[in-house]
Amino acid sequence: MGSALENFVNQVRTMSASGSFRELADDLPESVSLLARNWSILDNVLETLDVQQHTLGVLYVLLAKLHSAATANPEPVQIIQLMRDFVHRNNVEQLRFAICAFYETCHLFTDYLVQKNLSILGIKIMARAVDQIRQIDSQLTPIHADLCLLSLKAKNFNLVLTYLDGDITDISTAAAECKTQQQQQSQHTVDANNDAKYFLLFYYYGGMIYTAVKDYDRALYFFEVCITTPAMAMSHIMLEAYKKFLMVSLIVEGNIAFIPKNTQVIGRFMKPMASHYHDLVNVYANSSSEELRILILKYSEAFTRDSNMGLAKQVATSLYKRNIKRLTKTFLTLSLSDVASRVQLSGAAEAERYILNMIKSGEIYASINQKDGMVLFKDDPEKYNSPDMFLNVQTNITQVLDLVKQINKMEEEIILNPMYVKKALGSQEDDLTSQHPKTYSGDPTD
Amino acid sequence: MDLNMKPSLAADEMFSEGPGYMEMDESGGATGMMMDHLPTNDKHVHADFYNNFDDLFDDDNWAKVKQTGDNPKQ
Repeated sequence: MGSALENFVNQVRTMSASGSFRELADDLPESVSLLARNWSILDNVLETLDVQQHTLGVLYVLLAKLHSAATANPEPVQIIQLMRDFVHRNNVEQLRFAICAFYETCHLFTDYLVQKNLSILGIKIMARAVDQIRQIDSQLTPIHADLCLLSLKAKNFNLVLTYLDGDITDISTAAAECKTQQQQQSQHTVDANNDAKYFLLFYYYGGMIYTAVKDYDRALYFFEVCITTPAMAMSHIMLEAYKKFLMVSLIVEGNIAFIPKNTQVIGRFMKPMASHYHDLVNVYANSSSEELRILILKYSEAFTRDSNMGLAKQVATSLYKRNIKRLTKTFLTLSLSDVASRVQLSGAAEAERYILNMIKSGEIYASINQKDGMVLFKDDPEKYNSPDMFLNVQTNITQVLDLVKQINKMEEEIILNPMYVKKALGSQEDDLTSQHPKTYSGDPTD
Repeated sequence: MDLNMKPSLAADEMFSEGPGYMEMDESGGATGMMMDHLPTNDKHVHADFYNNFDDLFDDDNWAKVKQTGDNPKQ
């Protein structure tokens, strides 16, 4: 081992033994280039360090290994094993001194697995990383987006859904962590940009996951958070989320879901860049499945390029269903062939398939008489008088009350925040100044 | 009246139409603070984000996945 690397190992061991983790975390970023240059002997370095005792040292060796992966071309199994070992055995107290480096390591590890087409092997590792570093279950971290990306690439959503289903009440950002760790200003700005990126990615990828499992209400919420994030510039993540938002809106509501007014980037940048999708919305409003089918065929190249062709098909299916549902509000009985002609399906068999699926999923209440090919539409049998329904209502009320408590708690935190108080008092003073400009001139030392 | 037709439903007037929540004219909140860091001189950002997925919303693709037994959806 070269003397420079020996110095690195000695520094890690000495400072870890004396508990000088703050100082060590401040010094280690300078060692990354040295470690990356010596990628061929980093395994020797790792042999001299213990993950539990020297978490910060091992973290930076891992970071250097991942930085040099393109040159060193290590065995994927080895990298995965190292990362798995690290997230299971590290000392979280030490890790908290270098959260930015940990986030970066996780991002690089995710990129590496995606590139090697081994995403499925990283899901549990990244879930463990999230569990370790978040301070409360409802805290969002930049590595949540990595977990979502790996799950999407692996088409495996079991684990990630448990992270997506909970509400987010707090955000851990690299910018805030670097600020507390007093790192360089230039690095700080880069991290701040990436924080916005990973925030948007979490909601974009999360929306995609919910769309894939057909939880369209939740998908719509995720896309909405992504596209309504206040911004001065248009993010391409927001644009892709906007396209999917429009399509999922049609599936859920039959038109464009409500978008708050504070989203100028949508009108200014996104609408013109998603014109095909707006055409889809306009044609959907005519309720003609045939016109919609023709439009989807016309724009099939664009939809396929955006990997949204499957979603376009779901939109077409939703219009058939919406039209069948409309029939249930008007008719008591109809023949299957009548249903097919009214909603522009190919024939009685296809109409039967749609109706059976809709009965199965509880979207309509009906029975089909196979003998004469007639459908009998029924009313919702729910009378809202069963113990199960009472329990359901009670659960919903409890959830709403919990939400109110959470909102009150967050409001109190904001009201007591010194920055908020200063700003609120400042604006009050501005109001006073504008009303009595000659009697108050403000603090000259401010 | 057609015997196959249902009587028309009376509109529920208890709830007014439209969203029942307040619109915010000004940006803010935690996300607002984050996005304030975006470079304002750039019109478009994040052009390089990873978005190279198979079409995950095509039921035919999922049918293939189920047939091969890999990567179950749920």
